[in-house]
This record gives sequence, structure tokens and C-alpha cells, in this order.
Amino acid sequence: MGKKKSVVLITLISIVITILCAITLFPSFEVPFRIDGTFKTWNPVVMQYDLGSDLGGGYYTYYYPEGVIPESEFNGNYENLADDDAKAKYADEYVKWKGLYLEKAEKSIFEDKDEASVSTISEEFKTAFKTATELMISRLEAKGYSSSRVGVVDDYALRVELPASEVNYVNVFQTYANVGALTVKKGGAEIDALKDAKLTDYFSGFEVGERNKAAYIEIKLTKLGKDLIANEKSGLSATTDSADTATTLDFLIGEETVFQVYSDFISTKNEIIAGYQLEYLDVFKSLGVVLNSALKDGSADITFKTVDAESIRTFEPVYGENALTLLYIALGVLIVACIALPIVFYRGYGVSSMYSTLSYLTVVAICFAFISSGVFEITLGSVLIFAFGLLLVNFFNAKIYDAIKAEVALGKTVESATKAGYKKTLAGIIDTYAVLLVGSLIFLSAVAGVYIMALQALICVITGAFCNLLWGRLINYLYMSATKDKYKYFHFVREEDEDDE
Amino acid sequence: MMNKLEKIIKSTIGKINILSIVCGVIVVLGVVFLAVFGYSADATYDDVKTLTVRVNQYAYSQNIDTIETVCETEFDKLGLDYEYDMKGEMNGDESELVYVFDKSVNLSKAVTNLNATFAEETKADSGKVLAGARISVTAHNEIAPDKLPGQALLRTVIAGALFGVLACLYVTIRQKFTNGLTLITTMTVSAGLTCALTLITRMPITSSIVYVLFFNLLFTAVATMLTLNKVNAKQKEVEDIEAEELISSSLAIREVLLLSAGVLVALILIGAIATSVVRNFAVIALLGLVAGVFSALFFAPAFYLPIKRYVDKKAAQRARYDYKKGVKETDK
Repeated sequence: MGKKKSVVLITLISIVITILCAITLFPSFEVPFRIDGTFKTWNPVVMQYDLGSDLGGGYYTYYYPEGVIPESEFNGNYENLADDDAKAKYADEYVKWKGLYLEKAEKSIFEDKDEASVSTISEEFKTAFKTATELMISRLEAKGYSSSRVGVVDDYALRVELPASEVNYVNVFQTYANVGALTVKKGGAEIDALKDAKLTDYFSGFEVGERNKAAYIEIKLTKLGKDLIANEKSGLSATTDSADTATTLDFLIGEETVFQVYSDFISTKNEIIAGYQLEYLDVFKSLGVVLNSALKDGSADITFKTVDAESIRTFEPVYGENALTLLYIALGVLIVACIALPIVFYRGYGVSSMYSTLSYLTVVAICFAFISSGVFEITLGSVLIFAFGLLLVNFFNAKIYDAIKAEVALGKTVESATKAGYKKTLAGIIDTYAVLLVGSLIFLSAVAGVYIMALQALICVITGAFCNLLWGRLINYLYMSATKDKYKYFHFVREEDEDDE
Repeated sequence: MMNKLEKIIKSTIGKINILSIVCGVIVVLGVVFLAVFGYSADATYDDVKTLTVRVNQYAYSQNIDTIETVCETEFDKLGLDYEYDMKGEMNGDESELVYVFDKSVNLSKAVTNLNATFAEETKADSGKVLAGARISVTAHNEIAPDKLPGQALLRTVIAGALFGVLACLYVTIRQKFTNGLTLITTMTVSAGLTCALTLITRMPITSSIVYVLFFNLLFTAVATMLTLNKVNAKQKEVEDIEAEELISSSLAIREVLLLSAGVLVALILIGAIATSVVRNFAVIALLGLVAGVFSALFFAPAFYLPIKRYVDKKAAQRARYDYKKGVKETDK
């Protein structure tokens, strides 16, 4: 390639990378003019991540079973009562247990109101609460959060934490509170075939996904299930019918109807698929988790009080408010080192290596920010895998440099040494990235944070391989074409120069 | 320094028995520590005691600093240290400040004192900053039924095993069976050592241990591949090379140290300037790095040599004109 063409291409690439770096890193500021009639704030890519609770904090709420209230609520109610008699009467309605108050009249907790005490809490209640706790844990695991936590507060209440990345946290908290049994009714009445039958004989699961730019819930049916639907679909209303008089196949968890099947959800092959607007996908994913949990993991004979939006707390990162800023500083130092050191040691080749570093940085940063399918959170694992990929890109660039240097030492010209250096290192780099690619793909079968980390590793590995095998090579080629003194470009000393000295 | 290290590594080539014993002892020690002491869970995933300060929203938004100062002064008086705190801001009329303590701490006195202090401070006619605020303090036990993400850990172990097998297959196809076998064994040893070292050093474990395991496997794979790639290239270059010479001339000591130094710097940067839990994560990742470097630099060459010799011997036997499958040399 000619020198002029190389310079033009390098200039263009430099402009694109500079723009991408600005999009990725340029600090937030208020845009001084109106966009669509309003003043907006510019936020760089690195400020737009969905953060796991370790870096971004999250939300938590308490689940109290019916008849259980926290001490603070009891105290508040007690203090608000006008006279001592009312206070004594109110206090007599509860049994204190650690930081909670249990209502004596609550049948599910005490069998006999008059004999209610801490020693007469029913075994059924204890067992049901334990089952409800296990259900909650399994539901959060099934949702695939990188970090979530269930804490049993004073034995009979739950505190559940979700990461900040869960934008539908109110819906999740409310949906997951329902730990009752799954039942299916038609038009509000029990279906004869399902009386005393195991639902898993008819329904094998609920699948939620995205197809043709719409969200869908598919109810997976067994053969028995298909026969059941074939029998029951007649008489079901369509979605276009009046909602007040509609007859639907209702899926209830506890007493609450969570999903309704209309006749137009049922195909001619007796399959049930309901389509909705894509914006509801996350809501239906939570519903799918709860329906599958109720179908497969069973239920708990306990009712949690409704979680209202006002009772949900937000919390800052448990690792400290500044954890993210400090991590950015640490990564910043690492990136600067990865740019500066090659330039110091390898001169021109170091500059071309900088392009690989910056390309890796911008591509990975943008992918991390804008891949939003499912739960894609930035955690400590993401930071580690990003840093490892960055180091690997620079490490292989250094290895290529060493190989070129070794070839020059054998007496080859810089051009042929560069070709030979790349050729000699090619197989090793491909094999290493291939093994890493295999690892990243395999770890996609893991769950929660590791699955997300595997996705991020996949991005880092593919970007790293691209930077080392193609992009870095192209940039180096362009720079070499534009450089007069190729020895100087590589920071090599010519043999004749050495002889002169 | 480099030469010394090279000498030490070269002196361990082939000494798989000694290195197996060393690794075995560390792993067994880890298992013993787990059996006797259990693992040390981080406060964010452990059973804890909490002291909850519930505050009406207005007072919370206006005077949270004052409330924190009152609480922390009381903790100092009683000599109580909390692990971390959570500022639970609500959308509704009440927010809360949760101080998380070790499960063995007795909080009853702190609750009594703080309730008394806040009762004084919040009196409508007290003229103090918190006058008119509604603040109540309660203590709670909080049990974490799911301290370690068991399901996630199990799936990570299964995925790790599958990764090892597939990496072994890939390297076997691209290079040689001995290389593939060395890779999977080294990865297994490294993962085992990482877990054992974490248990022995009693580092507080969070769910991020699974990230470290994943990273450890990737790092060990890369570090081992650096040597195996050289072995492969050397084998192609010189066909009749002795197994010992092959491995000793292909050690990627400088490369592995360079890569691990980069990761080390990254971990130190992350660990040094971040908060305590991030530091714990960085230290566990560091243990993984040490295990990975040890496995790639010492274990892999030590393991490679006897395997290579065995495979070469078998190949030589198979190449003989009188070779019969299933017939031992001694039977002839």
C-alpha cells in the first residue's frame, strides 16, 4: 500500500477510535442546548452499565407472613393508641418473638388463640415458612441474578435483596411473594379432569421468550395436557370478547389469577402460546419463573402480606459507595500502563499496539453497555475478565514483537521479519484464543453470575482475538507502509549502525 | 534471578511424584480445614445480627448524617464494630438504616441506649436538629439459608470439568495427546489448589468465588498453552528430540511470569484501592493466580515428561515389526 493511502487510512481510523473513546469515556455533562425540546445529560458508555449489587447496590424488601409484624410497626401502633386500656388490649393481641410480633388470632400461626405463646407456634407454620424460604431462593436462582440474597429475619420474616440491574423490581417482589399452590380453573370452576390429578402430568413447564419482536408465554403440554386442552377449548372466550363475561382457562397461584388463556391463544394443534408487547418481556419472565416454580417445586401453605412499592428500599453498594469509582481508577491506571509501556519499549510498534488496546477497550465497553438481553450485569468478575483480556491483547502483541525481533536478529529485512514473526506466532495465538473460546462457550451452561461472566468472557475473547489476529496486524501494516525508517519504527538497531559504533 | 528460577524449574521436570505429593498435601489440608472449621463466609452472605434504625422519610432525607453520628457514637461507647451498613431509602413514608454486626454480638444494650437517646433528641420541644422526627431502633437476627450459591457452584464445577475435557480434545487434535492430557491435568490441579488455598487461608468467601474459579481455569489454560505451544513448535522443528530436552527447551517461564505480573498488577490495583470485600475478592483471585502459575510452570513440565516418555515408548513398541496388540513385552 502506498504511503499516502496509509496515512489517510490511519487518520480515518484514528478519528473513529477517538470518537469511540469519547463515547465510551468522556465524562457526564449537561448538554447546553435542547434536544427534542428538553435539556439532556450526556452520559458516557461506562456510566450506562447494569451493575450487580456488589458494585451498584440494589433493592430490598421484607416479606411478613399474615399475622406477623415487625417490632417497629407494633411500637408505632402501640404509641398511637389513646389510653392505657387500649394499649394493654392491643399488646395482649400479640406474642413477642425476637424483633417480631405474632398475632395470637392468626390461625396459621397458633392453633389456639388463648394458649398462644412462643412455645405454641405451630409446627405447620414453621414448616410452611421454611418451604416458602426455599421457594424464594430457588426462584431467585432461576431468574439468574449475579447476586441476590434471602435472609431469614428473626425466624419468621424474610428480607430479600435484588441487584440494581432489576428495573422491574416492584413486579418481581410482588410476583415472588406468592408461594401458594398452582391450580387451573375454567371460568372460575374447577376442571373435573384435574381434580386430584398431578398438574405435571398435563403441563411440563412455561416458556417465556422473544419472537418476531414480541414477548410470548408458551405453556408446554404433555400428551394428556393436549387432550385436556382439546376438550376444554370449546367454550373459551376470545381476547376480543367482553372482559366481564369472558370464560378463560385461569392459572391461579394461591387465590390469585396470574395468567388467563383465551381461545385465540390455542393453536389448531392444541398448543398454547400467548403473545404480548415486547416491553412486557421482563414482567413475563418473572411470571414464568413463578409459574415454573409453583408447578415443579411445589408450594408453601403460607401467605405473605402484599408488598407495596412504598415498602421497597433502595440500598447503595455494600462494598462502599465509591467501589465503582475506585475500580474505574484502577482500570484507568491499567489501561494507561497498557498504552504507555509498549510505546516506551517498542516505539512505533507500541503506537500501533495502542490502537489494539483502545479498540479492545471501546468495543468491549460498548458491548457490555448495550447488550441488554436478559440479565447482563457488571460485577467484579466482569472487571477481572475485562482486565485479563486487555492484558492478553498486549501480551500477544509483545510476543509478536519478540518474534519479529528474533527474525531481524537472524539477518532478515524488517518486512520479511514482520511477515515471519506474525506467521510464527499465529498458531500459538489461535490455539490459545480457541481454548479460551471453548471455555467461554462451555461456561454459558453455568448459572447466575458465572453465566453472565461467560458471556462477557466471550465478548472479551472474540474482541481480543480480532485485535491480535486481524486489527493489530492491519494497523501495523499501515504504519509500516507510512514509515520511512522501519528499524526506527520497531526500535531496532541496524547491524551496520552497531558496526559504526 | 530468571536463570535461578529456570534452574529450579528445570530441576523439577519429571519429578511428578514429589509435586503430586505437594499438591495432594495442600488439597488434603484444604479438605481437613473444611471438615474441621468449615468455610469462612463473608458478612454479606453470613448469619448476622442487624440493628435497624427506622426513620420517617423527611428526617431521613434531611438529617441522616446526624442520625448516623448518634448511632456511631453509641457503638463507640459500647465498643461495637459493625461489618457494614445499608442505607435503605424507601419510596414511602419511612426509610431505614441497617447496621450489620457479627452474629455473636449482643445488641440489646445498644438498642435500649439508642432508643433513649433518640427519644430525647426527637422531642418536639427539644430544639435539636432531630426534633419532631420519628425514629425507632430494633435489633434482629438474620440467618442466611443460602450462604454459598450451591447451585451456581455445582454448575461451575460441571462446566469447568467439561471445559477441561474439551480443551484437552482441542489440543489433542491440534497438537498431541500428551499436550492435551497435560493441559487438563494442570487445569484440574490449579482449580484444586485454588480451592484448597482459599480454605486454608480462611479467606471470607462470597458468591464471587465462582468468578475466581472460572478466571483461574482460563488463566491456567493460557499459561499452560504458552509452554505447550512452544513444545508443539519445537516438535515440528526437530523431529527426533529427546523428551526431556523438548520440555526443558520449551519452558515459557518469561511469558508466564510476564502475563501473571500483568494480572498481579491488575489485582493489586483492584485490591489496594477498593474496599475490604473487594480486597478479599482480589486476594482470592491472587491465590488463584499463584495456583495457576505454579501449575503451569512447575506441575505441567513435571507431568509432561513421564507421560511423553510413556507415549513414546508405546509408539516405539507399536512401530516394531513383531508388535501384537495385547501382548506384553515380557510374554514374548
